[in-house]
Amino acid sequence: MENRRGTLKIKKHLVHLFLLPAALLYGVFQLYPLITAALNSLYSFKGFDRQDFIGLNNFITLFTEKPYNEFFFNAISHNWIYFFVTVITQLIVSLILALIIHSKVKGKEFFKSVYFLPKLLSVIVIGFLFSLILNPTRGALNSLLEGIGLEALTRPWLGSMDTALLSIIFVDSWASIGFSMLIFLAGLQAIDNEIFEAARIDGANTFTVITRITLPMLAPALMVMSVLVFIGSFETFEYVFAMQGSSGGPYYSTDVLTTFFYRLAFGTVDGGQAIGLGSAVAVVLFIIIGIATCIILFFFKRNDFER
Amino acid sequence: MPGKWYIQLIKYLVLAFFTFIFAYPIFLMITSSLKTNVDIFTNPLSLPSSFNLDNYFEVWRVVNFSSYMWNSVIVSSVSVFIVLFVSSMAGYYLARYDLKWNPYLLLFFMIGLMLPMKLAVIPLYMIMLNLGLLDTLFSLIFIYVAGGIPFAVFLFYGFFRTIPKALEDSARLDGCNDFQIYYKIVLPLMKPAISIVGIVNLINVWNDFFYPLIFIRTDSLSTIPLGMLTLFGEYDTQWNLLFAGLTLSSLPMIIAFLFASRQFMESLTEGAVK
Amino acid sequence: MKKKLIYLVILMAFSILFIACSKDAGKEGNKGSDEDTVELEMYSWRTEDRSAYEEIIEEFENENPGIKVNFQPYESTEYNTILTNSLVSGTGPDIVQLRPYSGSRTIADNGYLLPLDDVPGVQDIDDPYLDAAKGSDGNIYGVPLTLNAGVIFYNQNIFDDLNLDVPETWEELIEVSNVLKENDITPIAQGGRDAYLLSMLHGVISPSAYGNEYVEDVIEGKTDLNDERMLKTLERMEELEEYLPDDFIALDDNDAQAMFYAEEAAMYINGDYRLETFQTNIPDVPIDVITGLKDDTTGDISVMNWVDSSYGVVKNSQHQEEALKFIEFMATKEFGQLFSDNLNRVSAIEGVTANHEIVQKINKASEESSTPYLMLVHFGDGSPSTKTIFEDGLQGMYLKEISKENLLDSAQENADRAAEEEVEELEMIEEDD
Repeated sequence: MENRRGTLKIKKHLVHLFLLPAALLYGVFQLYPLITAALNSLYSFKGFDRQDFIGLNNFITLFTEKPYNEFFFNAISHNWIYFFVTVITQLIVSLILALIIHSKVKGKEFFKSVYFLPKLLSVIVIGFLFSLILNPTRGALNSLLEGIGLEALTRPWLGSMDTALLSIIFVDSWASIGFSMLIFLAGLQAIDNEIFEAARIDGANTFTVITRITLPMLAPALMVMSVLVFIGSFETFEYVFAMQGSSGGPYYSTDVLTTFFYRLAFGTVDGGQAIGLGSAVAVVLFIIIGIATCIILFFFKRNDFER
Repeated sequence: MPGKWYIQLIKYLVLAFFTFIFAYPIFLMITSSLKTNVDIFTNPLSLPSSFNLDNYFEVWRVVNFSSYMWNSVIVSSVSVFIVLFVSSMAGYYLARYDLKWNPYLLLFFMIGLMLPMKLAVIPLYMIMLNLGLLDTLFSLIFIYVAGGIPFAVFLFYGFFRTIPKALEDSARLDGCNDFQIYYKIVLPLMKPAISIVGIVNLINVWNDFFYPLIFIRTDSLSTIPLGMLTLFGEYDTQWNLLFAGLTLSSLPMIIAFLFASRQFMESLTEGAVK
Repeated sequence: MKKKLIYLVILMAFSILFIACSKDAGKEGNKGSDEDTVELEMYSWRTEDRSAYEEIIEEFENENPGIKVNFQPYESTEYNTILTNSLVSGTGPDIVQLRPYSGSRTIADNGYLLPLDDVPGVQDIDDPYLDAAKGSDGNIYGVPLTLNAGVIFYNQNIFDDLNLDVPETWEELIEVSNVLKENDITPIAQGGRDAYLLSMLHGVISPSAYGNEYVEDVIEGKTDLNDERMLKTLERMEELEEYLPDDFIALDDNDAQAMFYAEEAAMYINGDYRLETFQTNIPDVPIDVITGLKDDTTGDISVMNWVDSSYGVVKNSQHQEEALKFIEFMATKEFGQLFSDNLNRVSAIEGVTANHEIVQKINKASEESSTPYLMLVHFGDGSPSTKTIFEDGLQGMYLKEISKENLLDSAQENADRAAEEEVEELEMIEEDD
């Protein structure tokens, strides 16, 4: 009896082995670096070497000292623009597409597949592909516009203050619409068909059905997607980097927090690194995204209760 | 609802317009890859005059494409496998054993789900340096595994909770130990979850270029996206080669998608609902 | 299921084994079959010079059996990241290409490089070259290879067809440009998407406006960027805009080169190292260079030049001895001649004569009178560097986002901040010692 209880105890401990590999890998290669990165913001650096503890000085420099504060506020404003435009170009467009595909049309599978296709390409491939397409003198887009008589619309897409950031956001949306469309479709499929039937028997037209029934029922999915788009807009790096490099040109018009971070953390062709300052940028981003995370958590929780 | 004919027409027009928007750039990439450099510059929109794979042979020759491909395959398959294995165990643990610290564990994993790991790249670099893993495929595998775990744990956790406990209890009575229950009884029911986690991670890992950019220096250890960066650096005036390289690097995923597009999309939407 | 799982485990074990093997295989491949051969890794950002370097290296390998040098070029824009990363990890290259001036100074000051003062031949190189490769302690950390000159390339065909005289002064340049424009030829092919090209453009055209006196005043600290003479250079930059391609801020250097290749543009401004590119790509187009514009007041022509880069030895290298041997080779006249011939460049080594006519011309003009690439040589410090702020600002100026005065203001402000940083860092280094 004693013996049996003993082995049971061991067995009970062995159960933790289920958790161990995941916790260990995740802890060492993700959580620990994240915490270290946050702590780095409190130190001064020489190259890669941590020097003295300097409290919040890096943050003070970041917010008050030229040129860093100008870079910072410029970059963060672009993240906000990125978010608001993406809501329109990605969320609203994908919602409309999902509604259409969910209605009575032929070839649903075909359209779904085509719209999803860009998601399969690497961001660097997409970025390079579009920097070739958007090239002002040799690119396909301007040739296309000229070809169909819209010469007035041709412009140096990635080389002008007005269009560079928007072009990047469009490219990002181009790649992401398919995915968010699938999410909305999943949400639509989950809505009970009987509700629609009932509404139709009552004589509601398509527009009323959409505004009165579909959208309210999609609200949770919409909210979650908005928060995801928000996080994506603040984390965005690859598209800017692939199309404009880490300097966020022309004249910082596409600079976002992550490219600013990259320049500080790794330096530029002829500028040194400033890891402490870079980590401060990272912490600000952590905080912004942390708040967004809390919001998403809140909504997940509420969904749970509803079940 | 039959719908008025013009509403149907507008719907199809919208769908056709977006089909063009999504397919044309990819179509352009493929057709341009078959043209000569001069042809691309003079007639950027025209179709290739002949079917000519020279650009592909040239790209294959000038960059180390076969080893990029190989490295990508190794890194993707190994990291996706490890993510699936360790996360499903952790998800099972969280869903099945009611321990006091479970809520905290969920929070522990939640942090990684949301914070951008890219910003922790310098500490990560120092870790790899200290472990002697810089410039090895292991560094990438560890990062991708760690990055994939939070999402996968949550997903498995959600799926495991939907499985009735009675199933396991009967197995336990039959004398199975906990690990046997996990992989004999529960895991086979997890096919949808496994394919979601697998596909999401595969797309992410296969396409990532940020970590290879930082951690890989040796050309023969580059993955495809990093190899593209090299190609763009050295042959930036020869757009025919660039387009061929872009097509070549996208092809494996596109082919996989053509074979299993339904599976791809269904599992992704299922993941979204969970 | 159990079977499947076992298969998966086996697959995983195999793939890990495989990575390990392929990695070893890769390493072995590097080391060559001969056990005694030492393999040196050499990092560079000159991807376009790979074949020329490999030829030169072959010479060295023939003379020094047992040493193999593996030339590994990276994209220029990624080079700094890669170099810093590999220096910190101490596992990377043996020989590294160093950015001139502040670039190599920073790396040397952080203790990653071996001083080269005692390597035979190094001390014979002229001081202006060596200044670009010195640490704050005054030791030499790199063998400089060549002097770059910023020049105006022009297409002789176009000039002959239109009966144009080669411009010597700023006014003549504008006149010629006007004629070219009337004939539907873009006067100057220039891209502005990469901001450093604007610094270069500024560097080539401005000595005629500010004169060498201004440079001396800056060095002596008598004046700074907020100076009438500097403002005048920016006015010229603005004036130049109408002679550059449409939307040139959206064009990169390749687009600009393509215009020059297609003979759609008559001139092209960049470093003389582009000569080699032109020879490869358009060998049939007769090209000549304008080495500089006449100073408005004195009438002298000064060539804008700067030391291109140097090569140093990594302190942590496993093969210091062999690496130093290669550095010694780089300081020989033989190497200088090979370098000059293969790449059409002016060598830093004394007594090397260039074969190429244009190179000789640039060389001769430089010897007569030269002026430094002000932004790179004297404003390269800081993170971000003042040069970066300045050239990004030029982009902004062309996009009408910032006034000339504000541009100079913010550049000077950054220079002051960089100078403070410098003092702090020096103090840190002294503390370390």
